[in-house]
Amino acid sequence: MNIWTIGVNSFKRLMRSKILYVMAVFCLITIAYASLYGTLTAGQEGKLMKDVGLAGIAAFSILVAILVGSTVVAKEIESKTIQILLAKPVKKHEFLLGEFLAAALTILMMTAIMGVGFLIIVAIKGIATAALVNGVVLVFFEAILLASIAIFFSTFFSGMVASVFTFIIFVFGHLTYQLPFLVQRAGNVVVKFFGNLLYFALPNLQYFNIRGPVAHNLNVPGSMIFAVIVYGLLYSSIMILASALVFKSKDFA
Amino acid sequence: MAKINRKKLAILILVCLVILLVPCSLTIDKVRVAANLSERGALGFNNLMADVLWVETIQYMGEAKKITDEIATTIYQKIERITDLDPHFIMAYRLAGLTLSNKRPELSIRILSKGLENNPGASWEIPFYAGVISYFRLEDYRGAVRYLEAATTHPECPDFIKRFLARATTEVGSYKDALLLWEGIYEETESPTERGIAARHLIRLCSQIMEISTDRNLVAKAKAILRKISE
Amino acid sequence: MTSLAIKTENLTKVYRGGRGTKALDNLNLEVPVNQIYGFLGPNAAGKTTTIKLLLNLIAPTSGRAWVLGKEVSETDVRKDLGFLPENPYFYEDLSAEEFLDFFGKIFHIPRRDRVNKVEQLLTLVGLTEERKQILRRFSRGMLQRIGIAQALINDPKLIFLDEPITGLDPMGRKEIRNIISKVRAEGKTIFFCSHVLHDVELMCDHIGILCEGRLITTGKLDELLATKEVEISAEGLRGEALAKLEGRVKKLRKEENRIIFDVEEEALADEVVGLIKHYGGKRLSIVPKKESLEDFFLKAIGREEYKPDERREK
Ligand SMILES: Nc1ncnc2c1ncn2[C@@H]1O[C@H](COP(=O)(O)OP(=O)(O)O)[C@@H](O)[C@H]1O
Ligand SMILES: [Mg+2]
Repeated sequence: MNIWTIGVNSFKRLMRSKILYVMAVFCLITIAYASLYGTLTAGQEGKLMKDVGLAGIAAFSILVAILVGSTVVAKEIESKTIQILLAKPVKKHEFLLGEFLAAALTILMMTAIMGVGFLIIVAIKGIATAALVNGVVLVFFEAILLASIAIFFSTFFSGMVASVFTFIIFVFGHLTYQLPFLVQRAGNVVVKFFGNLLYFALPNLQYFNIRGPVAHNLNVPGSMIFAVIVYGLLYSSIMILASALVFKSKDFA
Repeated sequence: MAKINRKKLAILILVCLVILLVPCSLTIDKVRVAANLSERGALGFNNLMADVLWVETIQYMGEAKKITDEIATTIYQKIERITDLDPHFIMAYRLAGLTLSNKRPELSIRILSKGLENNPGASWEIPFYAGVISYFRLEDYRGAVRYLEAATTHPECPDFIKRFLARATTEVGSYKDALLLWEGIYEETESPTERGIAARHLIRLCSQIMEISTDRNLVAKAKAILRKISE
Repeated sequence: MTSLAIKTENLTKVYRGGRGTKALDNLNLEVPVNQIYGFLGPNAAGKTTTIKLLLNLIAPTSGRAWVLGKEVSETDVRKDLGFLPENPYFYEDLSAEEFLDFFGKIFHIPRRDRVNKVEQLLTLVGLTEERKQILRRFSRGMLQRIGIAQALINDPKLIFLDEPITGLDPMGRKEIRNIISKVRAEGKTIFFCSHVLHDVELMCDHIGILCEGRLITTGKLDELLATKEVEISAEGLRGEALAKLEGRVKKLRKEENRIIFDVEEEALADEVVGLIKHYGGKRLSIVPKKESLEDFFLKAIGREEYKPDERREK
């Protein structure tokens, strides 16, 4: 109840911030660009449009996730509005979940608007497929995961630092797939151990990228999409729970 | 007391979730391998980068008046990069295969067989082009037959290839076959660039036929094709 | 304990990270209900720290605290608390109305009651005209007022006001004082922090003086400031009489043609009045003397002059 109230309030305030409008405009430009891009080339406008559109949706969703995730909690701490809220009968985890909800709603809205706009354009071209929706859905869950990481970082650091760290995680999260290979080649047991640890500790963000296969109309098993969503939710829950534990013993001075 | 327990409970749940993450991760890894979803860095924007390079390559090819050895090599390198980023980019393999077939047929075969390896059964064009190039340019008849057979396993493979395959196993290449094949490509492809390449091949082939052939039927056919192209 | 709004036992706070200074040092505080309790102290005395500890916003290094008879760590106790932070900064994208409505929802006030309550509070703090205005456009005084409204949304029994008047212009100060008096009239307990003595003197029943994290004095304002001294004024006294009287009184000063005697004890007053009569003088008035809060405060913190920002050297 409180979670919902806090979440909706923060969501409402986020919707009033100009940055999201700017984002929306950029996104429209991207989608327009995608449809333009397609007309250039030899019999490949379908693939190009899908690639550029999906990449645009992914880029903006992730940007929004990092930006919003690293500000929802941090801004309330930095501007001390959190003190007013926590001086009321609000538990710290309720606050945290509320802010996470706000971030999730914002991401959902952005991704949904971009996704629908994209699908309409693709449908007009007559190249829409159901799999494209799957591609967008996994982008959403990747963004949610990154937002939860940003929230986790903002329980220790300022919003600025949290966003930088989240971006670093984003980069490494897309590179973890190389770890098993590197671990295999490492002779040292200690290196192997830490390599494996890193592999499971860092979020494997490549899981969420089925944009290539989707743009090529390749079959992506439903079971895998389901497993990836479970993975995303699991990882996000871990981040939020860890944030709640940090919050529990945090001073709001 | 109750508070401490709540905290302990939270930590316990956290640990459980972390442990659950491992089998979840391993399951996804397995499914991904089974579904042949290969990883290609670029922070998840590999396809986009492939597209950017692709547009660049198309432009490069458009600007090149004549494909020289040097240009062919550059195109090959670009296509290699593109298909590294996006291994399912069928059109890139196809176009590279056709473009390079004249000057550097061996590179053409190399890129086409990379495409075949990365996308088994995904397209009949790739093995077909490889077959044609092996047959006419490299005169590797055994290889050609192998590629053409791969092409015919595809459900959408046009009949003319099957007919060609039947003869290719017994005869050595002729103008007639070449004409038939390039006409086939010209008719079948949906890509304007490919059609252009096929048209150029056909024009050269037809003029050669008209110059040297003594087969009246063939000359007539060549003329008909030329007329069709120039429309 | 129920008659106490606030109680602390050896409440101590050392901020981590800093130079390890004790922001609050074994505070033992008892604030009765239905009072305006003025919590005084120079800057950095630890007033804000105390409020934050009482609201469970920060955890004590040691010691315990109760508000309204419950341990501060219980979430439920905050149903009956109100809080106006120091230098309030609010959700600047919300309008005054939305802002109050949001906190109404936090307290699970049903919709209709919430609308009424918001209306009533906006009237109380005089912001009915600005209800649709976004908080970013609010002046400091308006923010302070909406902050008080926010602190009252749940009809709290105990309200913490951290420097509510500091930094406002005279008009603004008066407005806030009026609001506080109205709130007080509803029978709420107000814990009022300030380093401005004048405001406290005007409004508070009880005071506590905090300095460098330690509570120096606490008690009823009247009682603390009351002295045994008596002030007698008279006229028509000659030089020799004055010389005689000077030996009996604590202090003597001339004001125009009047003479004012400060007498140390009431018992001596009768004698002094007798002597005035005896020397043919006329007694004009006799009043029990009250110390000014400033004098009292300075005495309490052991300083000559009050500069709120100064910190005593060790
Ligand atoms: N978050 C904090 N971290 C470290 N020291 C702090 C913090 N907040 C306050 N202090 C220190 O604690 C002391 C008391 O501060 P405070 O309670 O704000 O005083 P007051 O409200 O009476 O002006 C000061 O010396 C201040 O510097
Ligand atoms: Mg203060």
